[in-house]
Amino acid sequence: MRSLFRLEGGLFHPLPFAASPGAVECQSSAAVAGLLAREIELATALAPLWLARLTVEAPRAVPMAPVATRTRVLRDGKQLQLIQAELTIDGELFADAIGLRVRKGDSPYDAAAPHGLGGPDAVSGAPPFGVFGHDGPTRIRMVGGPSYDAFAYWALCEAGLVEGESATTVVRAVMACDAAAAMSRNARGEAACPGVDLSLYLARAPSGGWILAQNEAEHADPSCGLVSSLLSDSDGAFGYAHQTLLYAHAAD
Amino acid sequence: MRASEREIDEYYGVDGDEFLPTMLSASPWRRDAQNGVALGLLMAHTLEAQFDPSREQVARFTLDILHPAPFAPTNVTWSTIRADSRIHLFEGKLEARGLKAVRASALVLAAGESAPRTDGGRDFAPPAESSERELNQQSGLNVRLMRSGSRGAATHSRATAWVRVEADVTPGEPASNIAAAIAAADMGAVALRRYRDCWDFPNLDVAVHFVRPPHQGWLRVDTEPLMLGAGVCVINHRIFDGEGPCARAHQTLFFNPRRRTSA
Repeated sequence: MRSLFRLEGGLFHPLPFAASPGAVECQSSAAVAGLLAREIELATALAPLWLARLTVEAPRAVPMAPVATRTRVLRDGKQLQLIQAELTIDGELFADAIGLRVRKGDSPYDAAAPHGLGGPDAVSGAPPFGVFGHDGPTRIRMVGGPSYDAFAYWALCEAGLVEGESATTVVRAVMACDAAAAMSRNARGEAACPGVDLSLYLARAPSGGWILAQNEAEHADPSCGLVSSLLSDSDGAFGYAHQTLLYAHAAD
Repeated sequence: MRASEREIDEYYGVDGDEFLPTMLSASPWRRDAQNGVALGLLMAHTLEAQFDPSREQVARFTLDILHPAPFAPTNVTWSTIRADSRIHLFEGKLEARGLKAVRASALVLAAGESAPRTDGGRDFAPPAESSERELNQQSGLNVRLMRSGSRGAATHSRATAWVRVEADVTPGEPASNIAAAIAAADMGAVALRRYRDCWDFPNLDVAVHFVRPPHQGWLRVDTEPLMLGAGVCVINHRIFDGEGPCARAHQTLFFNPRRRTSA
C-alpha cells in the first residue's frame, strides 16, 4: 500500500502522496491534519479513550520537508483527555491540533436519520473541479450533480498515512472530509486557499472505509466562507466537520 | 426578563486585572464553580479587545473547559499565535485561584470589502410565549424555547430557542454580537431535558464557526443532538439573526449516569 509519510529517524518524511494537489511543493492539508490526528490518537492515556473532537489550525503552508511532531497533555484523566499536537520543521511551528478524547461509556442512543443517498457503489460521479488528481490517495465519488454550495461525496482514503501502518478510521475520516474545502467556491468561482483550519465533532468513531460528506458552503463575502459537513458511514451519521474558507484575491 | 427583575446586572465585576464573578456566573451543577455561558462571554469579551472589529472578524471560536473554574477572582490572558495581513490566530487562557480552567482559541480574519454591518438589520423578535423563566432568572439570558421536533441528523430532541443576553458582561459593557452568539451556543441542554432525571451531561467545550458577524439583538438557535451511545452527545447548533443564518456551533456533552441518593 502506498503511503503519505515514511517515519525515519524520528521525522515524518513526506512522500509524493502527501503533496497538495494544487501546490505540489507543499503538503496537503489532509496529510497535515491526518498526521496530527494520528499523533493525538497514539498519545499515552490512563484508560482506553477515543477521539471525539479534533481542531486543526494550519494557517501557513507546510513545505514538502521532513516534519517532527510532539504532543502535550492539557487535561488528563481516565474519563477524558485533552491533547495538543504540534507539527514543526526545524523547530518552527507550522500547524497544531487540539484533540478531545473520551472514554466509551454508557449514554443515550438516538438513532441518526438515514442520509437517503445512494451508497458508494451506487454512484460513480468523478469530482468535477479537477482538484484531485486521478492517482491521489483518496478516491472520491460525487453524489448528485456538481454544485459549489451544496454537494455530497463519498470518499475512501486508499493510501496509508505512515508506511507500515494502517490508518485508523478517524484518520481516514479526517482526510476524507478535508476535501470539502477544496471543492468549495465563492461567488466569483474562485477556489479557497488550502486548509486554514479543520474541526471535527464526532458522536462515535466512524466504521469502515467509505465516508459520506454532505456539505454546505456559505459565504457572506467573497473573501471568506465556511464549509460545513455532515459525516456518515455505512451505519449512518456519526459527526460534523467545518472548515474556514479563505480566498486569495482579497489580499490584492 | 426586564433588567428591573434581576438583582445583578452583570456577569463579572472588575478589580484591576481581575474579573469578579457574580451569581449570574455560578454553575448550575456546582455553586463553587463558574458556568459555561459566563466563561464564554468573558473569553469573547476579552478576545475582542485584542483586535479591531471594524477591520477584522471572528471566523472560529473554540473554548475548552480544562477544569471547573473556581468561583473566585479570575484572570484572562490572550496571546497571538500567528498574525499576518489576513489571519490572526489567538490563544487565550482563563485562570482562577491559580488553576488554568479554560483554554480558548480564535481564528480572526481580515474583513472583506463587503463585510456585512453588524448593527441594525431587520426586526427579528421571537414570539412572546414559552419564556424560560427559571433559566432566565439564573443566567442573565432571555431564553424562549419554541418547539422541539424530529428533523435533520437526529431523529428526536430537536429544539429551537430564541436567546438574548440581557446582563452586561462587566459593569456598563454589554455582550457583543460575537459574545452573544457564543452564549447562545451553550444552549444544547435545552434539547435534552428528558434525560435529566437519569443523566448528568456537563459541557466539555463550545465551538462557534461564524459565516459572518451576527447582528445585535435576538438570536435564534436551532439545536439537534447527535447521541450514538458512545459516552458523549454532540450538539449541533445553527444560529440565525434577522438577516438569516450566521453561524454554526457545537458542544460536546459528557454523559454520566446520575448518582441517586437514598431518602
